[in-house]
Amino acid sequence: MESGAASPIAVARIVATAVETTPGIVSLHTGAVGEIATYGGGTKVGGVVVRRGEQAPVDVHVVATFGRSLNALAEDIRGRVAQRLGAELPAAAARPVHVHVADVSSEPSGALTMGAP
Amino acid sequence: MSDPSSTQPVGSSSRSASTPSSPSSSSSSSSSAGSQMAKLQTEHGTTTIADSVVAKIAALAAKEVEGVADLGGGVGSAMGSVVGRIRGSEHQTSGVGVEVGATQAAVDVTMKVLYPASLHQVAEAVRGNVIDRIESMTGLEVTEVNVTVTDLSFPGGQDQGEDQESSQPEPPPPSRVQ
Repeated sequence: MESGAASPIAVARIVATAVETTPGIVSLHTGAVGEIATYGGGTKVGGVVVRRGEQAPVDVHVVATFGRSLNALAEDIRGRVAQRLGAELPAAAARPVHVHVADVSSEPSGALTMGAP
Repeated sequence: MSDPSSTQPVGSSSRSASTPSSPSSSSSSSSSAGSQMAKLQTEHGTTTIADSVVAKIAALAAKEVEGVADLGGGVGSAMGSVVGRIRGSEHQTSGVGVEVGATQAAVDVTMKVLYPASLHQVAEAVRGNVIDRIESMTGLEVTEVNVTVTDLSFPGGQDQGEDQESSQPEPPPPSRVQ
């Protein structure tokens, strides 16, 4: 792991952890054949695309649970990613995070409750 | 109904009364809005919602409504143009067509309804729930939800075995003539 400028794969790992632990996320979405990923060091992190450049935007592709506001979810993701990067890789914390909702979980949230406003 | 396109037997009414006259709103639109994804620009990045996500939300929202037996139907009929309008869609979104613009979405739902539910009630409930789910989840304004009932589903049919042994063969239907 190079010191100083954070490598894309290092940023991607932190971003992936932050995204996957966000409530309302089913999983990262790696594309039709797993092509959406960041590569480096002989491995890859799926669903996260980190480009080279200290301030380059980060793309995350996600599968969300059915029911919640996807825009609120995206804001949560941005907050968590910024928090995690701020703690572990402060140099990368200011990167914009583009959230792509690729799918929603097909599991229905169950029968609608009666009398809900 | 004065709507000349008679492919929508139930509730083809547009949602907002102020919508300009749209003679055949569910036919393929000539506007270029269909290809853009819903996109929200924020201070720290954009949020993109795929069209297929909007379609899936509509499908799940429709299935949440009591009385909806299944989506789709009308194989080989005019519904074929609606089914599969989402390229690469899974069967989960068959029966749902969406047109998504930057801030608005229009939805077509084709479905089978459980007999003997009121078709208008079910269609209205589907319309309401689809609008509610899409608007709350994506922030898109839903301009219209066109509901087409393609078939009726009879609870006494294939799904009878809920309270009896599934291995038990179905009794033959009683003869209607002597």
